[in-house]
Amino acid sequence: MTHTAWNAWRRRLVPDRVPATWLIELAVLDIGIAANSIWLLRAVVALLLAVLPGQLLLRALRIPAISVRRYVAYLPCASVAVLIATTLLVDLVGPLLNVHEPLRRWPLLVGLNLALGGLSRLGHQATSSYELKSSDLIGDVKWLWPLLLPLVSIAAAARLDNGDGSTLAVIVLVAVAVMIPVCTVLANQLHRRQISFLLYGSGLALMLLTSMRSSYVIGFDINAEYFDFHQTAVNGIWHFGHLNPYEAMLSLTVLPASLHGLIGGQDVWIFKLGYPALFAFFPVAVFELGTRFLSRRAAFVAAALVVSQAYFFQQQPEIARQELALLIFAGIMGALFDVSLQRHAQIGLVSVLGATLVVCHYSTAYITIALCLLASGLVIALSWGKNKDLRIAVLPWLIAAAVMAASAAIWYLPATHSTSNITAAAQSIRENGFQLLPGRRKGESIFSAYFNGLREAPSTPLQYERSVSKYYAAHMSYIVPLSAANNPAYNLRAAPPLSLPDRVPLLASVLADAELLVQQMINAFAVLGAFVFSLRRRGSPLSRMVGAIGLVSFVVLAASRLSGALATDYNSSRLFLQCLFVLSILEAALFEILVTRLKSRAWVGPAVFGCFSLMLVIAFLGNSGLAVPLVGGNPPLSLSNKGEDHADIYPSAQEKATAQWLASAMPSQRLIYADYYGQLRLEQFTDLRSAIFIDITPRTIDRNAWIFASTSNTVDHRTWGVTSSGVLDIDFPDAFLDRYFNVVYSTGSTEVFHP
Amino acid sequence: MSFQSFFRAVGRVVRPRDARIAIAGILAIVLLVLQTGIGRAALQAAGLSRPTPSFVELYFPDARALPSSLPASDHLELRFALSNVGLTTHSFVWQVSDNTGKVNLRLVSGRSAVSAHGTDVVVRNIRVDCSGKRAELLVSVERASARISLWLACPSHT
Repeated sequence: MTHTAWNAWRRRLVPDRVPATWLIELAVLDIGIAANSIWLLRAVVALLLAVLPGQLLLRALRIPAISVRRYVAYLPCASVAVLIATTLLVDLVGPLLNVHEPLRRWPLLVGLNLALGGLSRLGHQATSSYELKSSDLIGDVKWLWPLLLPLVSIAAAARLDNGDGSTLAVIVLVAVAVMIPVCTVLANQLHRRQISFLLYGSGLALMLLTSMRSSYVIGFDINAEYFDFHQTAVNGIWHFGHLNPYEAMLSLTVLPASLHGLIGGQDVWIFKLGYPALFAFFPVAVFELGTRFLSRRAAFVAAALVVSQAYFFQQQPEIARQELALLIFAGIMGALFDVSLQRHAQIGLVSVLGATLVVCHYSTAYITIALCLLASGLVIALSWGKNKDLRIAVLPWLIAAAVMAASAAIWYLPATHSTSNITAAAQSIRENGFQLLPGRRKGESIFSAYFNGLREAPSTPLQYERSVSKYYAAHMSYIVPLSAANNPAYNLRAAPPLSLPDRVPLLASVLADAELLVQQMINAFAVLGAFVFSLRRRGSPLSRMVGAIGLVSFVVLAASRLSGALATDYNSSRLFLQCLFVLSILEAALFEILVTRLKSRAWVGPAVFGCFSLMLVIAFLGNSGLAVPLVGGNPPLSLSNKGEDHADIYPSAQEKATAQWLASAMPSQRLIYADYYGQLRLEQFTDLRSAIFIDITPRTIDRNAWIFASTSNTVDHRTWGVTSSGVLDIDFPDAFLDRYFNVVYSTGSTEVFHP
Repeated sequence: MSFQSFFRAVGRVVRPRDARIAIAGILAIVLLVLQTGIGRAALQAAGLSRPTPSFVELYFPDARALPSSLPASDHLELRFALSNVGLTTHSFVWQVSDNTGKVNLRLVSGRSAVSAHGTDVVVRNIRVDCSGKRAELLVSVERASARISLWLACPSHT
């Protein structure tokens, strides 16, 4: 190639006005992926994968760099969208080119290079205002110190796993508890990027305290999620077809397999570290969205509200698919509320992210479609006949809903046939109706029933055993328990609680009451904010749209509380976190109005927000379990190797070995018993899914059963019984099993029983 | 070029971005060092790396088809396996005992040296004195809490 021809080719790909930094970054990415056994290069690859694909997509969509700097969550959202689409294409095209395992490092690297080159070509006409420099995202180096907090969390989790105490974990929690009020007071003096780093660092640090415990994934749903991811990574390919919802979610299959292939290392790290690192942009997005309408202080308080919730830092790291989906949801909301975007760019971005959301998580997608449609309907109704200036542009919202609905119809039906969850919900509603206030008693008011929720007197272990044995006898005649099971000597008994003893009962009680009061006040303010902003006459159309979204969020939340059918089908705490994205901003906006009304006094702002931040600290103390070592109670997994959480969801190497031995030793025709939490080990470490019974009671155990006894069963002698009034702590029936079953496998802390 | 002037020249180039470069450089060096033997040892000493788990798996290899009764000869061929989940060879002292009565009666014992991630299958012909309805054989490993058991119906009751 001559020099002139080379220059012409180079200009076509990289015009002079656009610096070719992306080419250098791509070269570094390629080198990093090629040599990803080196930790340093792994870190570089992870960083570049989070930034570079997004950078190029956003430029191709003509999203101005300044908009991205003001709403950084666009970047990881766009990168996720590019990686999912690229990996899916590689997965589909690979077999046509005789690449039978396309989800491996080299095919993925080729696909990524082609995709990034294509995106760069699409964006090559863009002016420099669309060119985002990585350095713009950092600002002053001094602002990076909060990123040390996640490192301390990783160290804290490792030390706790090694039995070295919880001092580091307590330091992280105290740091976050102090950061909330201090940053609230100083927020208006801090740079917005500085606050973003504080929120990102503290949010990620809190999540890692839980997610980095153990060498395996921690939580409930994440066990089955990890299995599907692991299978995809092991097979090196993902297929369309009749799939269960988890298999059909690309956030659990194609994307993590791709990240694992490109970054290297153990696949479990993608869920334990990678996904929380992406989801930590969620509170940052709340803050940056808030700054579009509010002062920096109010926006920070809104984000701090999210960070202080256990739903955010304890529950979400245990639900990988929703971590990613909520990040994308934040990206969609950010784009829909972004007045700095041209209409075509806004619609383009929303469409890309909408389609990505659909393949990430079903429920979040359904809720987002509902929010967009309901909010559009509400604002159309509220601005009917109003001055044109006051009308709100709902077109992008309707387009977003339409794109998501169409993508969902294609993906969930012909592509993957994975509508089992929605058809089950529809069937339940068809059969039992919406079950409005199912816990409402005769003569009880609606409000009382609403606030009391579902109440049932707790069952005793014996009631539970009788109830399940009756059910088994009626519906599972193939299960034949031993006649000795009816011996009263083997009746189930309650296990002692695992909580730490109350050291300061009075303080514990005051803290519990304060936490409850604060949490209810937070909820009440959020609802009030939603009503005020959606219905008030003053204010910009955009703030009214935020109000409308808040109001419909509240309606959706209330519906899930009122309807037993909806509550059963979707966990309301997860719905709460999605709705909190906007409700937290409205809550902070309510305080902002109050401060503005009293602006003649300079101290009012810091005082009002300072008080609110102290409320958040009280909520955080309760949610994080920080007070437990002092006052007693049930210690969280992030702080202790004892307590309910540890007994329930902490997997050990012995449990992994036992589960894998069981899977290899059993015949295909078999009945397995593993209790409510024991089944999670089978889900994470084996492909045992069918014919698993969770009721380990003498009267329900088949005489030819294989019984998986977890560490909690074997060492702590406790098991669990699931009842309609909750999960019961029960003594493991060792006496019965030891007497009538052989112990065919043992590690000392786990066992397998079989006759 | 003297060392002094060389460092001065490097300083002039680096100064505009010195903080960022310094931090990136330090991080890079830390990550590179952590992956070496010294780094791993330092992480372990600080309690920051999880030690590789080490335990024994004790099991019946033919768990699907274990005998449910003792042969009339009172002799039984007992097969059990010891798997060493660890990074070094381990010597296990095991014993088979009759756990039926109040006194745990040792029937046979032995020692197995099992390599890292290796398995040793032990086969022993043992005589069980089965006078009641059932006998329980217990296989255990010294200094480990692993134990497996086998219930056998006595010949006179089958």
